[in-house]
Amino acid sequence: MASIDILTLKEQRKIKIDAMLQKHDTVWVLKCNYPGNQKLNAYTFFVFFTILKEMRTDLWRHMDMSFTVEGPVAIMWGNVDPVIIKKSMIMLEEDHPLGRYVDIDVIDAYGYLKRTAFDRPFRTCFVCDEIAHVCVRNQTHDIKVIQDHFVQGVLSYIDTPSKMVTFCAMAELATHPGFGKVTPMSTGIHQDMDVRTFIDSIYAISPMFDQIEQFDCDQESDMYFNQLRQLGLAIENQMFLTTGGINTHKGFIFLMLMVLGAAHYRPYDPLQETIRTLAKPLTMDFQDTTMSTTGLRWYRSHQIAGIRGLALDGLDIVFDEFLPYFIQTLESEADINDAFVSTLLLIMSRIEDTTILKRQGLDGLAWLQKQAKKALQDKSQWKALDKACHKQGFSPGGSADVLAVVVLLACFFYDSKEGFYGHQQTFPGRDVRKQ
Amino acid sequence: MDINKPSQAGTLESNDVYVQLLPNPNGNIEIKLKSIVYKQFKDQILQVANQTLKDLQITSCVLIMDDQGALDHTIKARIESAVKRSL
Repeated sequence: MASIDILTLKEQRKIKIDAMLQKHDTVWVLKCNYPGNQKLNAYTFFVFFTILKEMRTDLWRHMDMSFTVEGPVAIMWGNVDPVIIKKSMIMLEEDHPLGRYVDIDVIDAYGYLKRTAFDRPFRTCFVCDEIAHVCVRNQTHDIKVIQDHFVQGVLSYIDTPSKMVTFCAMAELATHPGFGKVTPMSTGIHQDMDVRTFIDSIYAISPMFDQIEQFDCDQESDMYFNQLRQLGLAIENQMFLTTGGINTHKGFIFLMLMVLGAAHYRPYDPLQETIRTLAKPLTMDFQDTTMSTTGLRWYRSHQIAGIRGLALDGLDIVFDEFLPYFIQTLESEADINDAFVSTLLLIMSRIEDTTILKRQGLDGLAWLQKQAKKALQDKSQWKALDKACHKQGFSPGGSADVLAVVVLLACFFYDSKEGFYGHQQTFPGRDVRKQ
Repeated sequence: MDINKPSQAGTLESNDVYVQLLPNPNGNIEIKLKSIVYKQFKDQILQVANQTLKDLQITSCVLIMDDQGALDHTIKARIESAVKRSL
């Protein structure tokens, strides 16, 4: 798809809205308030769906969604009183903790309804008290300062395991290009799932992660692991129920549970060690003679330990290589999404992704690792690699799951002064604030 | 160059400007500006509009602008679009 600029996208939307107003009384549009030339990233994606969830219960049917450089945009319509819609949208913008990070337009046959007509003041800048439009026009603040405010606003809203899981799942989904995986604008190589499948799955499974908070941390580690495992099976089951049998999040669920479970179990101990300890029962899986899954079969034939191996290693490669890279790249990249893509490529170049092995075998994996390593140094290769992956049927599902856990650790369990410790602001039942 | 055919560009969305270009029987340039930041930026907006028309060698038109806080490059792009569409 040719890159269409933001101004053209606006005009195309105007045409759409005008056509909708021929048939419906009111149209309303949800967008993010995020500055820059490329507005689609993990943070805007999360804000968008969090706010969208407040709006309609039948999530997909009465809306037109697009994901472009403009970021996520939803157009909704109805034969309803525009004044009622405008009032409720103003309230949402003002009262929801993430409300300031979205822009909701309400339009009827007479034009755009203005908040000033509802006795509401002009919206203020994120970082100072000036009217936002004046700051924007004066370009008073560096764009990175505004973007950072958005990011910090999102991160401080996320205070439960379920919100963390939602965010990380959205981060892996929003990252684009996807090198064959599903992205907001493409189903990748997949015929049976798209962005909506993933969003449905995310919302079905993420609340279940809050159950970790109820686990007894005084029990032995193998008992605790067993509880995690049971929860994992229940979450997986819910996933399959929601998607109709499609595996959107198996690997993701496993990695999230390992980290969140470890953080809850021993919040004062180094996370890597706790993960390593908790994972020990997994060695029993490798002794299972039926070896019924792809991952286990690759272990028997090639000693490739896959995702279980990562956990048994205490996610060493994540902590030692991927995390520092991600944190450093976030700092240096102007476009946040680029940092996520870069990190995904690093992961692709380093892990033995059994989802790749399944489709393309050892040769395919070797090829992909080599290409990913090359593309790391050179952004101009990304498009070509994305195209090649699509053409040859590659989809780095395992790498995307590892990206999600990198995001989890970097955003919620990392303190630049302390290095890593078990918790952040979650698990409110336990007094885990370091003195 | 005179504008002989009406045209439009842009939208009423935040940070955009909706412009309409019409022929001017008076034979000169007339700009009608409405803006949410009129008080703070009227002069700058008019300056950009006039400069853009000058660069495109337009000598006669009525330019109607309904501005929602568009940056200079957006104003320029929308006026250029409208001019192109009226040729």
